[in-house]
Amino acid sequence: MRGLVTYCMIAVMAAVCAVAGGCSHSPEQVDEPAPAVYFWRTVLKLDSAERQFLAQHEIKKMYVRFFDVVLRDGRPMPNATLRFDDSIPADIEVIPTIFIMENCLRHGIDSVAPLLVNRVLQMCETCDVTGVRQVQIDCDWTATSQQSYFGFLNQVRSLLAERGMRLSVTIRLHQLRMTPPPADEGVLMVYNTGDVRKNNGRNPILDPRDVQPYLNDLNGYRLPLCAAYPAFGWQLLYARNGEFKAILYEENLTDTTVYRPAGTDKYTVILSRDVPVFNSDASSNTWINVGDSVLVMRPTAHVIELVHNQLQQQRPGINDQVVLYSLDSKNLKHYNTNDYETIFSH
Amino acid sequence: MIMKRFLAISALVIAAASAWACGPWMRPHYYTFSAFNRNQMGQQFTERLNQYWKIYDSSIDNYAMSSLSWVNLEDFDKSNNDIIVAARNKGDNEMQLYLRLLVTYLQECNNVDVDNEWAYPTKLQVKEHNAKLDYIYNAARTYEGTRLRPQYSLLLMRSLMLKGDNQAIVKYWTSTGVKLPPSVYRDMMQDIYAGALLRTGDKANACRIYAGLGDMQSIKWVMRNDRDLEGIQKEYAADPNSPTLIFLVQDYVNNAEETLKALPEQDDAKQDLAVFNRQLEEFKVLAQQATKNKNCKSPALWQSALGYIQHLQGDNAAAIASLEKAVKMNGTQRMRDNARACLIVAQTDAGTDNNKFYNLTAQNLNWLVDACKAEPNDADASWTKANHYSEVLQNVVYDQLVPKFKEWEKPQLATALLGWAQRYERSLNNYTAEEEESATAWLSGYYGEALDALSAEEMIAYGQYILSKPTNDLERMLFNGTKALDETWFNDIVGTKLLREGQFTAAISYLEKVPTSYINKQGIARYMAARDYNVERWFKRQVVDRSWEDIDSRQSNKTVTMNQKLQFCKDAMSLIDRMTFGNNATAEDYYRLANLYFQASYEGDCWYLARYRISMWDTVCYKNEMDFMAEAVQLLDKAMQKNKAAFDSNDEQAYDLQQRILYARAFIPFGQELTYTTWDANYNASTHYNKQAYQYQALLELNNFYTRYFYRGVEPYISKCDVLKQFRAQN
Repeated sequence: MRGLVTYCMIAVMAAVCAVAGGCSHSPEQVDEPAPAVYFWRTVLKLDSAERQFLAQHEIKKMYVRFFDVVLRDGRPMPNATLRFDDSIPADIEVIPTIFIMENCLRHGIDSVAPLLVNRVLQMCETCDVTGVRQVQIDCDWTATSQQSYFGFLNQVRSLLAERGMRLSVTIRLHQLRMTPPPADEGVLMVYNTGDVRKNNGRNPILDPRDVQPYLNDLNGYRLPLCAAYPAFGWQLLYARNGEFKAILYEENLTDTTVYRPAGTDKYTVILSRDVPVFNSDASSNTWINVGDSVLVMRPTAHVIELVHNQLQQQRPGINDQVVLYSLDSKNLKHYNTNDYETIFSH
Repeated sequence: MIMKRFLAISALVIAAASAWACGPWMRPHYYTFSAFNRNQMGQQFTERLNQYWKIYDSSIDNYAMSSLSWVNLEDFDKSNNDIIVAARNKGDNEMQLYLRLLVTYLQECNNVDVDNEWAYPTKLQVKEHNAKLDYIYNAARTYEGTRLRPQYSLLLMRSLMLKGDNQAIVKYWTSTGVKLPPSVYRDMMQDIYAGALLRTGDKANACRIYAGLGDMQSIKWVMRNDRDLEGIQKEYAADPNSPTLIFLVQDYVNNAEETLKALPEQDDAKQDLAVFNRQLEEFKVLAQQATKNKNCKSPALWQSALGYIQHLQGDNAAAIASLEKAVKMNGTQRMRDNARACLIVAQTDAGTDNNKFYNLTAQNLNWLVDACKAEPNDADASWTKANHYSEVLQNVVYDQLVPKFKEWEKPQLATALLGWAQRYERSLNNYTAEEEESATAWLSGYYGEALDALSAEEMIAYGQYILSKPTNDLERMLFNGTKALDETWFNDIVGTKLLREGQFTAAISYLEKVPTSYINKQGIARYMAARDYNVERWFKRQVVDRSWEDIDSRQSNKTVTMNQKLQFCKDAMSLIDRMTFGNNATAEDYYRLANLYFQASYEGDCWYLARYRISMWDTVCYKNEMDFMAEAVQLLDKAMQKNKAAFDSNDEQAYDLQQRILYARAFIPFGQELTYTTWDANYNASTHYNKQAYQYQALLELNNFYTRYFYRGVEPYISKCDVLKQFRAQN
């Protein structure tokens, strides 16, 4: 009788402990964490600086954008398919990544899962991409599209599992407050945290103040996570009245016949003309007009490190795998070796 | 009540309005400087290929070439593609063989387009694709004929392009392609060669080839980082005759125009403009050097750029001098025509109010008309004549001459010019016979806006003006074929304006000359035929059929059998006479006239009496327009005064009239808005009554009447009025 009572008390205490969270949840890490990068161009061709970066920082995984899925004639269709003009170093695991436009989730996404998986596998086979163990889906889904997205992911996950492969997904900060998608792991996108339309002194790529509200949701998020940090910048064009106009496409801001320096990373337009904008369609243009401003937004290494540490504090292990967005020699040169070592540290 | 009216009128607006009836037109500004035809920014090869096939056989339409890629090779002999059919009918076996190979190539192009389907090619398919390209290459290479040599050569280079073999492309062009005679095929090959040069790092030469071929779209992308002055200087230094300079100079001048016309108002922009102006001066120095350089073959390009920039900077004297020289300098004909167009703009800007200028203007406008005719249409403007010179003509007419004439207090000349421009533009465009017969076609556009804005007196004066003897070449040109010769059109416009201004007697003398057959050709006919201004608007909404077919249709189920405008004027005058002479008017007369006026207002069903179109934004906006609504309200007040004695003595008819008057007063949305909306901190809206509004007071009086007399019995239109119920609940 006494033993039974003791047993019951222990059982009750264990239950209370579990309910009250007294037994702390240890967030899971992603599978075989290693330094990683995203590759997001439409032509796979690595220059010497990029290859050197991969070797120097012992990058072991590359999330390679294979194609996007966009709505065309009312149907989700592949777009901007990667062209393989080069090979990836043999010791780097390739993780095919597919970006899906959110509006596709409302137009027949149900039938896309097998098409997508088959396409990825075929691309790997045709282009000799070997050793693929995981596929990633990138989508900025919302509460409205959650159901169809999760249904879609369930199908993809199941199809991949049949082939012994895993599914990972990208997670945006605001999605930390929602139910985790049905995947094996996630990459937390710690960039594009702000709104480019608001010229409010914050860096829309990464600002700790924009990350802060979500930190409390991090530890309890029930999906193995790693973090992706930005290594890129934007040239943001604003009209005289402060209204956001466009993200420019690699404008030469040192051209003093067109741009006048107006402060740190700020330029004023002094010659009106049409210029290309940051878009998958190279023929897209916008007008820059006299008086417009261009702000160069690029997170400093210090800010990245700060956020890196904040995340680590909230969720130990999240930086066991750091993914850098993205591998491009035009961006890599803006940070030094020490910066990268800090970013990749855990 | 008000919301339903708003929605109903909104629907009418869509049918009846082509523009805000009383508002100005916004217009774009087009660039003047054009050293190359802008179709070169598009698919100029397509146009030339279409021309080739048209010469081969006139039955081939423009879509046949693009649909070749969908031909099924297995059914090639049965294909109904125009080109294949033409070759088959001619018994042209050589051409059919070529077309088979071309279709094979086009299908391989489809196969490499991995973004059009979910399937991704397997290794085997890639191997087959490459084998197919090799087959095309070899078939093209071993062609032994001569007639289709250019076509086969192009196919060969295309197959190399698909394979990505840039070195082979360069080699083939330099050894073989360059020796072919001129043709669209040779040019296409050269374009492929330029692409290969670009991909192998020879950007400068690639660009020059693109420029020489007129492929300006490619240059725009390739030279996107070299469009500034430094880029121009570099290209000029490398080769003063580089065809790339045509694009760069034009782009520079157009951007300068964009910059100078976007003059910011704030002081802090002066520093930026100073930098820009310094740069412009440097460009002018370069331009002057180029014109003096004996090795430069196109001084006309540089001289015209110099002249136009001088014009943009406000120095028209220097601009005219420079551009007059440019017109005679060496260069392409296009460059000289461009110089002439720029000269016209500068001369117009510098013009002063005298016959010498007017005579010159007539000459200039005629030159632009001829240039417009000679210029090919824009490739994407198949149904209308839109090209560079038609836009320069628009700029000169609408942005320069019309404002100038108005500034010189010559509004009639400005209006006549707008009329000429409208007639000219209509002659260019493919207006249907139906549109030509429409009696309100004149209303659209700037001319219609200008005429619509005139008062009756001004319209009469304008009619006299354009029938008068011209005093210079410009007037001679403008008065030729003027619409004022059409008396019916003129009488209708003047009569309507007089009605609008409340000059009913004068209006009658014009309107009685307008036959109903003319009115039935107008857009307002369908309303006039279905509505009656005698119907009290506050009791009945006269809805004209709202189906989409009816909106588009120019046929109406009913036709106008009586000129309502004329009858309206007579009815109104009959009532006014009783009020004015002998004081015989009754309360019912005042009430009836109030209804007539309200129906003729912009809020009434019979708005067409006083205007040709209606917009939901309309108010009393025409010159000298009578405020029909305000008059209606005053008449209702007078009706009530007249009715008082009979009403107080319990006369039944007066009681009935009193209700109608009070209801009408509460209905008419005169003066301030009846309600206004506020929002709380959570953005929840609340609607409140504006107690200062006339309509509020009228509703209050109606409510008081209802409260006082409901026991006696009030009409259902009052007792069941939802607006009154809501008012009662909240007040």
